[in-house]
Amino acid sequence: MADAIFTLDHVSFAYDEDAPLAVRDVTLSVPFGEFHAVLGRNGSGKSTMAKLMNGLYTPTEGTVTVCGMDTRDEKNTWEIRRRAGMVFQNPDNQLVATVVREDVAFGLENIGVPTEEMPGRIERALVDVGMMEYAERAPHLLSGGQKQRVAIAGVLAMEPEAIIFDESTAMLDPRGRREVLNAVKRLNRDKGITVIWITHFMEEAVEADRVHVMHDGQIVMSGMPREVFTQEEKLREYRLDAPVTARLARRLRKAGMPLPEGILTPEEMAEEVAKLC
Amino acid sequence: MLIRLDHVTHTYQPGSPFQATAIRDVTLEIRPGEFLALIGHTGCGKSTLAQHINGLLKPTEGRVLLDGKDIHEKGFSKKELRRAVGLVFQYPEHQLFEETVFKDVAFGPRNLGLAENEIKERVEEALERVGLTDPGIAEKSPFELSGGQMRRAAMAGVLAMRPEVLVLDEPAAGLDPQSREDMLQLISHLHSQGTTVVMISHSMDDVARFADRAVVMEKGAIAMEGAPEEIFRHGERLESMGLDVPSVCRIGMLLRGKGVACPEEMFREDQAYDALLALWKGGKAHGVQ
Ligand SMILES: Nc1ncnc2c1ncn2[C@@H]1O[C@H](COP(=O)(O)OP(=O)(O)O)[C@@H](O)[C@H]1O
Ligand SMILES: Nc1ncnc2c1ncn2[C@@H]1O[C@H](COP(=O)(O)OP(=O)(O)O)[C@@H](O)[C@H]1O
Ligand SMILES: [Mg+2]
Ligand SMILES: [Mg+2]
Repeated sequence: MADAIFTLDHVSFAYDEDAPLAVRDVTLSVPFGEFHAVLGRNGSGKSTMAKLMNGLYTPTEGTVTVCGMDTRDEKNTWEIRRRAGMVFQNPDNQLVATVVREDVAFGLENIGVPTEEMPGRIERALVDVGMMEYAERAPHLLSGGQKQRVAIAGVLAMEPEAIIFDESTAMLDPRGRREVLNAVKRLNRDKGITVIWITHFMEEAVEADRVHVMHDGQIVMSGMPREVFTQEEKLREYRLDAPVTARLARRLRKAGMPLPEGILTPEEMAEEVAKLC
Repeated sequence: MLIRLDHVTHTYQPGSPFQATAIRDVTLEIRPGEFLALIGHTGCGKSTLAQHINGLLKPTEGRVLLDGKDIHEKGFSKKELRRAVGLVFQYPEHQLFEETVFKDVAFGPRNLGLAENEIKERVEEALERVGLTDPGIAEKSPFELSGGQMRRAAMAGVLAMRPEVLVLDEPAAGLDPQSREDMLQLISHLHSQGTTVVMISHSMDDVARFADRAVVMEKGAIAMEGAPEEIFRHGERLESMGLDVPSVCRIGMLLRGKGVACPEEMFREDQAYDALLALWKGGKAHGVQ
């Protein structure tokens, strides 16, 4: 599929020859420019799948392509990692330099970007995450949300097509989470960067183009947020829960209240309830 | 057992260029048997306050009193305090240090001078309670555990002391939905058995569900205090402090913004269910389609 940035074709992965499969028979295609959320309990295979998607791991079986390049082909490795960047959970483990600007420069030096090109790229990346005014600050003095945005800038400076976020808001407080998620949504909307968003917060997935639920290494549910979050019993089977508002909407419908199907956010709920009052 | 922080101020590294006053003139009583939630933006001093409750940090000014006695006075038994008040740290890796999970959980009871069989009994009971029962897990290094398991191991170490007051610093952060729920159910169960709970949390849905009382901190001081229903009535103020409000509370705020007479006492899911159904029935009575 030419219009897909990531394709996974019957992909399985085991950490060891005799280890159980951490990812089993996953087939998935992510079109350029979309925002896909990945949910699933701990150990369900999300991080493993993420690392298969940028070539950090190569499949035991099946094929993964990124922008049409097979991750198994070693000559593609660096190009794939540049095009599909990754941001992890703990901001403190990702920042290395003593000044924000140098931290963003770090990856560029690694891939041999000419020195004269670097300031422009760094500044564009910092502007895109709203951190330009912190360019000369020390990363360890920033808040968690700010640190994560610097980590994102470090990836952005590589001019990637996609960024994979592995629980990048898990350690943040509500303000930090909002900061990071809003920055990422903006990158997706305005720059067309494809986003893979792994999270435990159901609320963060309600605006995604598609939601995938992993369980036991497999993708067991896939669809638009409304399709996935209205299947409460199934979600519970996979040890997940619908967002509070979705659950409430379903209970109210059951009690006869004529709400439309697929309400996920407080905004939608207030809108619909107001019509009935 | 009554714990009282009396005008407590804490300054880190006083006199150095890194001097930072983390909490300022905090007066707070922790009442026996209550479930107290401590909320506030990162950096507002929650963890610093928590570490004063079990005497790990000493106030720069003010006093911490246990049943009226200053815990930092000469002659006060710190050992008894540490047993009675258990603190589960924000970062479990700061709490775990032994070679195996078993030894880690046994550390506290051993310090109490308990007999070996009593220690073993307590460790097993604590591991059982937090659900760390996979075969062989007790003999693993705590640092081989996943983040969620580490947190549960840290919790077990505290439970093995059978504390009367449990102070939990963001106990559900970073856990997946089911592990979060399991952790919250465990805390709620301990509370129902009489344990006093002080829980730091960013999840207002959890605060709404479990807490009897909430204290909101801002820049090292107590900004608001009261039952959750009182706190969440000031949704706009909480949001301006960078905090969330429970999702159903937001629904209410939005509805009132649209001129719908939605009650303010709506911060838990069951309350929202009743309130929204009533609104609809009221609307129907007035002929709205
Ligand atoms: N480095 C590793 N070595 C061996 N097994 C691993 C490793 N990382 C993960 N696993 C195993 O692979 C499975 C999937 O884990 P992971 O992809 O980390 O799940 P998730 O990100 O959904 O929590 C789990 O059973 C986990 O124990
Ligand atoms: N060990 C320390 N040394 C110096 N400053 C500290 C230390 N621990 C915390 N602080 C500072 O004290 C303030 C309150 O921190 P903390 O109690 O951890 O807040 P919270 O738990 O609400 O995020 C913050 O400004 C923090 O940077
Ligand atoms: Mg993971
Ligand atoms: Mg803290």
